[in-house]
Amino acid sequence: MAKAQAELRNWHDWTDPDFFAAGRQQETRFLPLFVRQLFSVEVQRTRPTVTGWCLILVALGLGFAAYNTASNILFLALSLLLSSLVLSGILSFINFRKLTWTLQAPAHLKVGEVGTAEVDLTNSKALFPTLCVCFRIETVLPNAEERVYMPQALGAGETAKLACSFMPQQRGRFEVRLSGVESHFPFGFLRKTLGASSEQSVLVWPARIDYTFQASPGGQRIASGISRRNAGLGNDLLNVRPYERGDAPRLVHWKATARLGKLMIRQLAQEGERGYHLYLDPDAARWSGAQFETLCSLVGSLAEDLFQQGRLESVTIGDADAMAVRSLHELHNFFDLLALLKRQPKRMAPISGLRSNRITFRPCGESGIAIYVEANQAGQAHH
Amino acid sequence: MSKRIKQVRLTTEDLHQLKWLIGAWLTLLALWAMSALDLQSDWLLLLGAMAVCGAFLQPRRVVAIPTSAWRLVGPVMLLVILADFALNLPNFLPPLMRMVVLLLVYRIFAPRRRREDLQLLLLCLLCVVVAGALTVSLLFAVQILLFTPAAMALLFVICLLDQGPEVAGFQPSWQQFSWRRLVRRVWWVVDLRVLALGGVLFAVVVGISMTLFVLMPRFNLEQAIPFLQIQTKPRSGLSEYVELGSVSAIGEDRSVALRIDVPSLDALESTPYWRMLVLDQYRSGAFGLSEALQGRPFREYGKRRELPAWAGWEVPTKQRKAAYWTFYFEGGVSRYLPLPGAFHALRFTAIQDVEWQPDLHLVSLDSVQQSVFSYQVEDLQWAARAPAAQAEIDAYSSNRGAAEMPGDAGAVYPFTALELAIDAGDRARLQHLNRDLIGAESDMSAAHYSQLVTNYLRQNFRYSLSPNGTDGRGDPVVGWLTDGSRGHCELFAASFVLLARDAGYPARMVVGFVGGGWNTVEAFFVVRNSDAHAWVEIYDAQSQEWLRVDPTPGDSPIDPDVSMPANFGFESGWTAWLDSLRMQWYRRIVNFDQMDQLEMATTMMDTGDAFLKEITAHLRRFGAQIRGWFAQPLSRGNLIRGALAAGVGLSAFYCWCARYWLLNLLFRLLKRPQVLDLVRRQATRYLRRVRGKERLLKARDVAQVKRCRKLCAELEALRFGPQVSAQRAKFVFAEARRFLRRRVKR
Repeated sequence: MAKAQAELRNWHDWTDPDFFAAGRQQETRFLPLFVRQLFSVEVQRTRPTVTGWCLILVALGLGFAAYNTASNILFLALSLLLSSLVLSGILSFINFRKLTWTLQAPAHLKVGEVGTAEVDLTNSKALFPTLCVCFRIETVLPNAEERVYMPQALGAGETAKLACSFMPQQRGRFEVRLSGVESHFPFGFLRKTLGASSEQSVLVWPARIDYTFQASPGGQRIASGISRRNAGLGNDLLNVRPYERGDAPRLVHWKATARLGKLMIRQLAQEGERGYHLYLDPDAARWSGAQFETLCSLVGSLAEDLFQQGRLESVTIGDADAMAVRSLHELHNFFDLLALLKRQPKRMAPISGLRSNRITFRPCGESGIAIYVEANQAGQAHH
Repeated sequence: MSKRIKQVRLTTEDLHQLKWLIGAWLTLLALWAMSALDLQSDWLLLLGAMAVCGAFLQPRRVVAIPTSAWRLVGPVMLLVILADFALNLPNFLPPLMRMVVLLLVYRIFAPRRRREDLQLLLLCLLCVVVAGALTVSLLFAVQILLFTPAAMALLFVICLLDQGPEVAGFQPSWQQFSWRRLVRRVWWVVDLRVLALGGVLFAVVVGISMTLFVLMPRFNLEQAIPFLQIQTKPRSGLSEYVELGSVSAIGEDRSVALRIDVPSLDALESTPYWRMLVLDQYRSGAFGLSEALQGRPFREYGKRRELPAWAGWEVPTKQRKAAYWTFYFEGGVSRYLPLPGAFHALRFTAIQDVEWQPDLHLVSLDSVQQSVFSYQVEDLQWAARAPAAQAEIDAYSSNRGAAEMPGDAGAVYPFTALELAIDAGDRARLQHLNRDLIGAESDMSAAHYSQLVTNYLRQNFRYSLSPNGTDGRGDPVVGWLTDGSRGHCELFAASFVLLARDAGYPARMVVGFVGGGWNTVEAFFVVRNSDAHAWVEIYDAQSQEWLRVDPTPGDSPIDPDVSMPANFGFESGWTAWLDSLRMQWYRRIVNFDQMDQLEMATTMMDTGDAFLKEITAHLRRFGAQIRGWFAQPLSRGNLIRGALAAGVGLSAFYCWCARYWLLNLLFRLLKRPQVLDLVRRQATRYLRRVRGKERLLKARDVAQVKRCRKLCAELEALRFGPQVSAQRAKFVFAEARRFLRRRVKR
C-alpha cells in the first residue's frame, strides 16, 4: 500500500485525465515517461474486456480478410471498428476528467455495528456527465472487497454519495480503503482502472456485553443538595468555560455566548455520590486472549453506563495516569484507547491510592470476569 | 442554491426494454442486408423478418415462451443446419448464411443476457459485412451507417446495465409494457443537447473512419478468398447459348449494366458497340458458342492481373495517349466483358481467373460475378473491323462456299461460321433470296453484300419486340424471312447470318450492348440492360478482316464501313443523381487502392504547397503595396486614405477597450435583462480559474497564497458585490491574468 501510495504521488501518465493540468507534472524527462507507458503500474490499467477482445478478434479477422481480398468494403468496416475504438477512448478520457472523489467513513464504530462508508463524488465538468463508474472499496477486518456502482449518471456540476456498508468483527483499527475506480464506459471495450489512494481509519470499539453490577455506594456520602468542587451533573453552576466537543447542547450558556462571541458551556458541580474510578490491568499473564476481549467489552459497557449515570470519575489503564472522564469527548477518547489496547507483558503496579470507589477486574473462571469495587465483588460478566 | 428540477431517468427495466428494441432493429437491418444476396432463401428471410416484427410488436408473447422450450430448440436447429450443409455441399456459403439467419432469429426470441447480446451484435455485424463484401453495393454504405450508431447504442445500454451481479440477473416484466410509454420516457431523457452531441460524435466516428480508410496502407497480396463468391447465372441473352428473343427480353430491363469512366466525352468517337460474345453455331433458331471455342486451343486460361493487346490488333504507338477507360460491370449480367475494340492493355484490380480467346478477341471471367466487377482498359480504339486470325484466314481461303460444308457432320470453328444446319427446303428459300439480292455476282465484297442485305431487311421488315412469321414449319429465321414482317434485333442479325452463309460469306452473330447515355451529374457513360443488342460480323476475304454489320433498323448506316458520330442521350434528374452516387461509391470507395492513396497524398502536398506559395505571394504583394504607399509623395488622396485607415484602427481599439459596455448595450437592446452582467460573468470565470490555481499553491509560498486570497476577495466582490464599472473591473481582471500566467513553483 505504501508503495502504491508513493507510486501515486510520483505517478504521471499521459492517459491520466488531468495529466495536462498545470502543476501535476513533475517528471518531464522523456525516457522515464516512456518506460512508464510500457510497464504500467498498479495505479492505472486499461485492459480489454470480453467485448474488447471480441472487437480485437473481429478487427484482426476483418483486417486479414481485407488485405487478403483487397476488398475496400472490408477496409471500410475495419476502419469503422477502429474509429469506434478511438471514440471509446476519447469518451472514456472525458468520463474521468474533473471527477473528484473522497472517502468518508465514520470515525468510530462498535464491534458488530453496521458502518457506512461513503464516497463523495463531484463532477466538475461544465458539460459532460459521468457514467458507469464503479468504486472498489477494501476493508481490512474482515478482508473483503466490494464494488460500489454509481446507479445513475452524474450530471455536470453535480455531486453524489455512494454508500458501502460494512460490519467490523473485532475491535481495533479498521481500515477502509478506496483501492480503485474503474469504468467500462462507453461501450464496454476497455476496463479503465484508476488508482485511488483514499483510506480512512475507523476505530472499532469493543462491543457491548451484558453484565451484572450492584455496588453499594462506598466512601463518604455527601448529602444531596450539597455541591462539591468537582464538575458533574448537579444543579449548581461551577464554572463557565468554552465549548468542547461532546458537551451537551443543553449546557450552552447563551448569554455568555452572545457576549463573548463564542460558544460557552455551563459547568455544573457534582452532586450526590462520588463517582467510580475504573482500573484496567492489561497484564498478559492474567488474561487469556478471549478473556481480554471480554474484559475490554465489559470495561467499555460499564464505563458507558456509569458515565450516563454521572458516576464515572476517571479511568486508568495499566501504568498510565488516571484519565478524568467528565465529558462525552473524554469518554470517547477512553474508548479509542480501549479499541487499540493490547495485552501487555508488564504487570501493573499495585494500586496505591487515595482514590476510593475503585473498580477493578479479575478473571472469574475460564471465561468470566468479576467486577470488584474496592475489595468486594460487585458484579460479573461472561463471554 | 436554486432548487434543481428532478430529471427523468431511465430505470433498469426501461434500459432492458430499450436494449431489446435495439436488438430487434439490428436484426431487421441484418436481414435486410442478407436479402441482397442471392441465397435461394428469400422465404427464410421473409419468415425471419415477419417473426422479428411480430416479436417487436408483441414482446409479451415472446417472454411467455417457457425457458425449457429453448433447450429443445437448440438441438433441433443444429440438426436442421447440419442437414442443410450436407445437402448443399460443396457450395457452403448459402447454407452458412442460412445458418446465420436461423441463429439471428433464435437469438432474438430466446432470453438474452450480456453474452447473448454480444452474440446477437456479432451475428448482425457478420451479416451486414458479408453482404456488403459480396454485393459491393451502395446499400452497404447506408446499412453500415445505420448499423454503427445502433450497435454503439446497444453497447452503451449494456454498459449502463453493468451494475453488478444483482442487476445482471434482473428480468424485465413486460406485462405493463407499452412502446409508446418507453419512447416517451426515452424522449424525456434524451434532450436536444444529447441528440446534438450524439450527432457530433457520430460525425466524428465517420470522419475518423474515413481518415483511417484513406490512410490504411494497401498491399496487393493479390489472392481472393475463393469461397466468398456466390454463383449466379448470366442473363440468358448474354450467355454461350442464345435463343431467339432472349436478347430482346433483356431490353425490357432499364437497370444499369455497365458504367464507364471515359477519358473525355470526345473519346466516344462513334456509336459504341460493346462487344461481349461471339456466337458461331446455329441450331434450330438458337445461336451458340461451338464446342471447339469453349476449350483449347481457341480459349486460353490463366490467372492474370493484366492482359496485353491482342496479337495482330494492337494500338499503333503513335495513337497511344495513355487514356484510361474504367469499366464498372454490374453483377449478374454475363461473364464476358464488354470490349468495343482494340486496346493497349486490360487490367484488373487483382489477379483474376480469366479466360481469353485471341481469335475472337473476347475476354471472360471464370464465372458470373454477383457484384460489380471493375477493370481498366488503356487506349481503347473504336473500329468497325477486326483482323481475322490466321486459322480463320487459312480456313476461309481454302473453303469457299457453304455448299462445300459438311451437313450434320459437326463443323469445327472456323467452319462453324459457314455452317448452315437447316433442311433442304429452308436452304432453297435462302438461296432464292440470295439470288434475288445478288443475282449471279460471285465476287461481291463482303461490304457490298452487307449493304445489299441490310438494305433489303430494312426495307422489308420493321423493328418490333413482337415478331411474326416465326411459328411456321421449318427454321424460324427462314420462316420469318419468307413470312414475317416485323422482328427484333436477333431476327435481323440471324437472318443476315444465314443469308451470308448461304452466299458463302462466313458470318457470326455478336451479342452485347450498343450505345448508352451520358450521366451529366458525374460525367460518366451509362449502358443499361435495355441497350442489349445483337449484330453480325461478316468475314471480308479481301482485307482478311471481320466487318461489323448491324442490319437492325436504327441509326446505324447501311454501309458498314461508314461510322456515324456518337449519338446518345444525356441523363439528368433524380435517377441520374442516384446513379452518380453509385458511381462515386465505386470510384472512391470500392476501387480505392494504393495508386489513389499516392495520388491523394501528392494532391494534398501540391495543394498545400500551392496554397502556401499563394499566401506568401499575396503577403509580399501587400507588403510592396504598403511600402509603395509610404514612398509616394504626400497628396490629398493619400492623406484621406491614411486618415481613414487610422480612424478604423482607432475605432477598433476603442471598441475593444469598451467591449463590456458595448456588449451590455447590445444585450439591453436585445431585451435580455436576465443575462448576468458581463463584469460579473467575467469575474466568475476568473474566480474559478484562480481558485483552481490556489489549490496547487504550496503552503510555504506565503506571498503567492496571500496574493491569491486577495485576488479572490476582489473577484468575489466583483461577482457578488455592488455593480462596478467595467473600467474599475479591468484592473482586477488584469491582475488575475498576471496571476494565472505565473507558473506555480515546484
